[in-house]
Amino acid sequence: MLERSTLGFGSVALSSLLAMEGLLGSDREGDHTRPHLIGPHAPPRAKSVIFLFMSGGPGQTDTFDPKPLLQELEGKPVPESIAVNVPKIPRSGVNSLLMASPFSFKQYGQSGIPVSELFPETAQHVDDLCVIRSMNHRIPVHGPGECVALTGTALGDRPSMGSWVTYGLGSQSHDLPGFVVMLSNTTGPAPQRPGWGPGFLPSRYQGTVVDAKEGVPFTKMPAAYDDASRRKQLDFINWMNKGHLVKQGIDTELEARIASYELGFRMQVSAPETFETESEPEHIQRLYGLEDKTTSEFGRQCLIARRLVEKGVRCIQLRNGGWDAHGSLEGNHRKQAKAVDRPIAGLLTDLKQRGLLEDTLVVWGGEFGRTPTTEGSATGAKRGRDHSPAGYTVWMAGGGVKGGQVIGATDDLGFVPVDRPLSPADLHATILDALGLDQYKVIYSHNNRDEIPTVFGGEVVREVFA
Amino acid sequence: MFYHCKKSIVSGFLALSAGTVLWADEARIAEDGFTSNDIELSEPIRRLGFENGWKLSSNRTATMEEGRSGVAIRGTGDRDNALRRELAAPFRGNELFVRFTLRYEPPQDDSEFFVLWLDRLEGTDGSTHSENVPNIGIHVATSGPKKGKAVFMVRIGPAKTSFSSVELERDRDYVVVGRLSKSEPNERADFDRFDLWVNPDPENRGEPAATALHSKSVNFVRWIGFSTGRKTEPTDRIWIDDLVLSRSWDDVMEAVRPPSLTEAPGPLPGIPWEGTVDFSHDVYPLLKSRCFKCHSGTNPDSGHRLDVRNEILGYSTGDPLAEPGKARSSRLLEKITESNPEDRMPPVEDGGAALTEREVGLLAAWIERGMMWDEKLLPTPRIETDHWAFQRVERPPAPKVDRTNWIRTPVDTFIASQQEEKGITPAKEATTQTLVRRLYLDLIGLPPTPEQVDAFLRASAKDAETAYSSLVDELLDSPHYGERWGRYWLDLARWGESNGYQHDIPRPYAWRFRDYVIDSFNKDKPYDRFLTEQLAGDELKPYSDENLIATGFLASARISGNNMDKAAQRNDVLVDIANTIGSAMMGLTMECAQCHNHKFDPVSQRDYYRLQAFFVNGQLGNLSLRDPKTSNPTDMKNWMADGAFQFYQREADKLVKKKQFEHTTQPHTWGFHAPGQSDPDIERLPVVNRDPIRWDADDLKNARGHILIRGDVSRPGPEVTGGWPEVLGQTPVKADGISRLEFARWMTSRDNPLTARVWVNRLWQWHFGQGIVSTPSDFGTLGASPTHPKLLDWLAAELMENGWSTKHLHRQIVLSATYRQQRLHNEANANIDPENQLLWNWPRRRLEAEAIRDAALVASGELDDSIGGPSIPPQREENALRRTLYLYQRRSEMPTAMKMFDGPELISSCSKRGVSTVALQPLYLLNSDFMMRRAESLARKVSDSSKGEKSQQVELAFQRTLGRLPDENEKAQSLAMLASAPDPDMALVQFCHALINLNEFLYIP
Repeated sequence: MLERSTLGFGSVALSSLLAMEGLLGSDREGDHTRPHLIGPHAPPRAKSVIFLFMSGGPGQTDTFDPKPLLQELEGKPVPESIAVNVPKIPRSGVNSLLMASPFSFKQYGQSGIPVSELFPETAQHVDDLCVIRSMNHRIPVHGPGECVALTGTALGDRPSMGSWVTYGLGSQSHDLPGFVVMLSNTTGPAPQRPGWGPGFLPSRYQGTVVDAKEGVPFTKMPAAYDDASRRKQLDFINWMNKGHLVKQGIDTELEARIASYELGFRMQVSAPETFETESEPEHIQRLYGLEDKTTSEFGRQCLIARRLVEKGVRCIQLRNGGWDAHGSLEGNHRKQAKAVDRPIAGLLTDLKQRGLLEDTLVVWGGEFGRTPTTEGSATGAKRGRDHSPAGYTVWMAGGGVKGGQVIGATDDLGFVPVDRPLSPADLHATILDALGLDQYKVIYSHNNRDEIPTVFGGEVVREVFA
Repeated sequence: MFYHCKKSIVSGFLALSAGTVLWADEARIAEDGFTSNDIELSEPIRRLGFENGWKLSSNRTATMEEGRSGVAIRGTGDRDNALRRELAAPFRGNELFVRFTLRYEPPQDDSEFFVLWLDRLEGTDGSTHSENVPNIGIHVATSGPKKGKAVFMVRIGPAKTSFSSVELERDRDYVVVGRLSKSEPNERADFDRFDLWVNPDPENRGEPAATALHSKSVNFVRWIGFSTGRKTEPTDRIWIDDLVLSRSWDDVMEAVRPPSLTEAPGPLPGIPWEGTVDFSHDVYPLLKSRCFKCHSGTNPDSGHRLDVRNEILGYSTGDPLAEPGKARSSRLLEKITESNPEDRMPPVEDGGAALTEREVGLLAAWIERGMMWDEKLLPTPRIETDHWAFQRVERPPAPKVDRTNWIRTPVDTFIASQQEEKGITPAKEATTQTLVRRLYLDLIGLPPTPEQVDAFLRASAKDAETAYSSLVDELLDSPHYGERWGRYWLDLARWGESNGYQHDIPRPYAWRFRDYVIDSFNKDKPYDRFLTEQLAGDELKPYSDENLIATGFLASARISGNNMDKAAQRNDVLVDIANTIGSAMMGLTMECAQCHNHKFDPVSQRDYYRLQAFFVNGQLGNLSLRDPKTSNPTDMKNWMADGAFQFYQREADKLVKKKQFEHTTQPHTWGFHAPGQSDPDIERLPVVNRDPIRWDADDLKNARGHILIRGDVSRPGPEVTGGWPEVLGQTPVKADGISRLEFARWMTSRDNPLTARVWVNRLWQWHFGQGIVSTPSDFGTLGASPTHPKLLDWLAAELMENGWSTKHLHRQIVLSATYRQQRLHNEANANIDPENQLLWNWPRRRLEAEAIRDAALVASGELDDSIGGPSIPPQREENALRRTLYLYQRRSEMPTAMKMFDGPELISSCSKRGVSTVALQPLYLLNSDFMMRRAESLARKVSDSSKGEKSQQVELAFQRTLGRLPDENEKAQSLAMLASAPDPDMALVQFCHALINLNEFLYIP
């Protein structure tokens, strides 16, 4: 690292650089003078995490949790024996009529885990997936639901999981933000900033929203510059800043600021490269579906995600909107799944063939699932499903995950977990664990109170891992 | 099972007795517990699901009795609709459950009649409500096994009566449940089936006791009522209680009272205790040896204390562990008799054994027989504390110091005294050039122009001291002072121009509060007055628009736009208000006591909800202004971001179509309004929100505060009235409670130990970057200790004894020698005090986001420094280069500069801005369009005044950005840079751009 720094500072500059990049952080609010090491607390299974967040809520009974009984009871009311266990939350759908999944399921791989026809490509990787069918919470609305899924609580006032991870581990990348967020198909419920926000953590841990086409914000130099003139300018800034520092004596914050200009310069050079997918061989581009208009948007983001993982970025969150199928579920889910299936499968294939999958945790899921019943009075193909936080599915792959297994189960219609009910906080604890972080040791003192990521509970789901 | 009982008690007694409308249950349609025996039945006491009160027949046959729950209906020997009531909204669903308890008195066996009817129409006192109308109740069977007896029955019209075989026994409580349903789920179809259950098993509803079928009936229900008939004698009294209408069986069953109330009580647990229970002799030793280790003393870890009788009764948490005479429902007994050892008390790991059966029997008997107590042995503790921050502020004398010639204001004596104690020497006074820049940046948040620097240098050369103090006065009098210091208050007030949460819809006139704050600072409004206006401006007399706008402090709470749980939606606002007052004004982490007693500070859950209770009668909204001089811009498009504006318009249009909203040109503000408390002429205008909190003036007038058990909005505990934390003094008891205005007077009284201390500490923090107490919003026992306790108290006393003048405090601080030190590292001092807590040199202070952006605009000479008015949206930023605090503050869409440099999250009160250093910041400063444009403008200005002379350009650029001339080396380096590029104009731009990136530019010198 020192060799890469053109500034030639000694160990002080090194520690401030580390502090700045979050490799060392301070565990107290307003205290940036005493760097403090947080994690990892155990040998990590994964070094990075890619969260494929399907916003709007894909229906569990239409994707990874088949319910044959739904076909039988099509159009009928919910049997009392199941209805009694459905929690009393608004829009539980329990008083509506059951709707069979319009999609057929097939068993795949050695494990024989069934996957619906929506994900034929992802299904090829089913032996690498750990499908969790027993996720549940009680927030039936998108915004707060997204906050629950990504921060642990509905109010949106706590740090996002990605921020906690970046705080806990710092970034391995010297020239990219530690936590990158990309948004695709942003129709439907608006992306929730708390989902990548730092909450009360220092803002350096926030996710950086990146336009997959534009790259990291502000990495494009204004037209008035070329590399040489920018270099001269930076040298002048550094020279002036060093002079300013010398006049005051020791000051770690000022040193960190000096170093941040070097880092910024490196980011400016390397970030556009990272987002330059055209340099990938054609077969790789095809793997992610870049040549097809339906898959190219999400495909590009998945490909960039892989490139970010290679650069050591800790957290990558790809938010794909539009899954909110209140009506015409069949058409909606076909279109939505088509746009992401090949890219996701491509990502898994590519990570695997590069030996990256074992170090990269991939998580797929939405803020909730959808009701096994139809919503409103629509008929035929116009029928859709309402939100269902009471029972839904996510899956995990890579990063030490034991693939080809199913954890938890919902009742015979897919309303609520009847086995191993798990919360978003459990998922968060598990993600932290995969990264070698002990949820109880990732501590940040805010308003004079020691905060942890899973302050309202959450236990590691041990059986996820091999 | 216990939980079930518990819930019943809560819903049966506590929640209903309060007459609250705040109920979260989705299934519930309407309810009335008839438990407030002090109310006239016909009064419009709000119950869930009803708009108006009961209508009594002119016979006044329904009465309530002191001390007895329920309503008694007496017969007249003729048809009489004793009670009837209209649902808030007609029920148009397909399945309706109704339940109530019934007891027929007196014990004379004769023919009887009594029904509950469900109809579309109200009818009159004598209407029959029988033709095709669903009835449920008591009638003499004309057929069936009990022919001739009074039995429970259902009917849809007299011709379609179905008699059950359950014969009425007098003087016995019954739970009657009906299910009215449609076979065709259609709004226009009639209800055609009515099932009856009597005392059903909640777990297993089984077959109904009777079912009436009739294809012709009503298709919706708007009115319900109780009728007696010719067979109901004037001596008959039918007691009715716990009426519930619901969409679900489970829900009506949840309201069923514990079996002990309707059936003979079972035996108490444990070996029955013989003889008398002697508390000191029998109970106390047992509690002491087996429970007190974890369940006694202040703030026990367990959260429950058993050494105070009131606390066992749930005084501070609303959640009793035991109540006298109610051993069977006692949580205490439940815990000690729990069969699973993991859940049992005392815990397995703590000595092992469960209490013996005899000990259990003792505690059961003790509770059942009234929980006798020995106050001498275990007195109710007085809430006391010796924590420094809760003691009255007394002015300490200025300490004696050796370095008397260093002292400029009394502040210095406190600083010097502690420095001398530790052997620390202060840094020298900073240069005049440094001081002028420091004062400008610190006091008005704008760097001085070269002309302003020159003027000060000239004045200083004549008389340094006068020049300095005149500049301080000049800056404190500058209208830009309020912009700088008001922004700090806006952080504390978690102010924003939108509702927050998912929709984050704009609040069009929230900017008026921002201007109010700026103006208040500029006027040096006494801090006590400033707080009073913000807590109770709507109540202040005489009325003024300014006072009403001040309530924007309370109204800066976020509101969800799509929360269907209306009780939770409203509660979130109340929680937000209570937390913010605790944090911003009192410096207490009150929020910890939302769900449990504070773990560390002497603040109970009761204290929390008493604070909240001051605000339960109000709501946020658009409120009319009346001063004809009030500015009234209406072109919202010009002050909201494009997307936000379009969203606002779309939602407004939807409401306009529904006739729930009208665009208005009437001047208004976003504030807090409490009908019955606020000035009566304040008019509330409609609000744009997709799924707003319901506005009902009468509901608000009648709303009461409650302890929410475990903070759960669906578990309202005992009612509480407004009051302040007991540890800070007794709230006076008054018949109609304490008003918000009285609360504000208490908050700002000379005896309040926190308000002034917290405020002067904040002022200190904003001058020096670090407060005397480094946890500015936590003055509790876990907060940081003050580094200079006497100085803090001296400043607090100085504030209060000088008319709460904030500017007076500024002068004490900025005129001090402490403030005028240079920034210089000193190894000897650093060894003793590495964090500069004793202020031996000027602390490092990076500018806040606003000041960074503003400073660039001053340097480039482009700042539009006009004050106040509507905000500037992103699309107009370049057309109106105003100060950063005027950029549109939508919570989810903060201005880029604020996101880059640690702006507040605008969710909860922000007492301290962070300082993060990340690579995106230099990228923003070097590559953003905004900074590029500033660099170009600056270069143009420099070029225009220098006529191409490079050396002069360098000097001018230094002066405009750093407020000083370059030294020889700097000049040489600068000239080299200017000469390095082929295009001299471009080189100048790049050079200027570099200057507004320097640490020296971004830090207060």
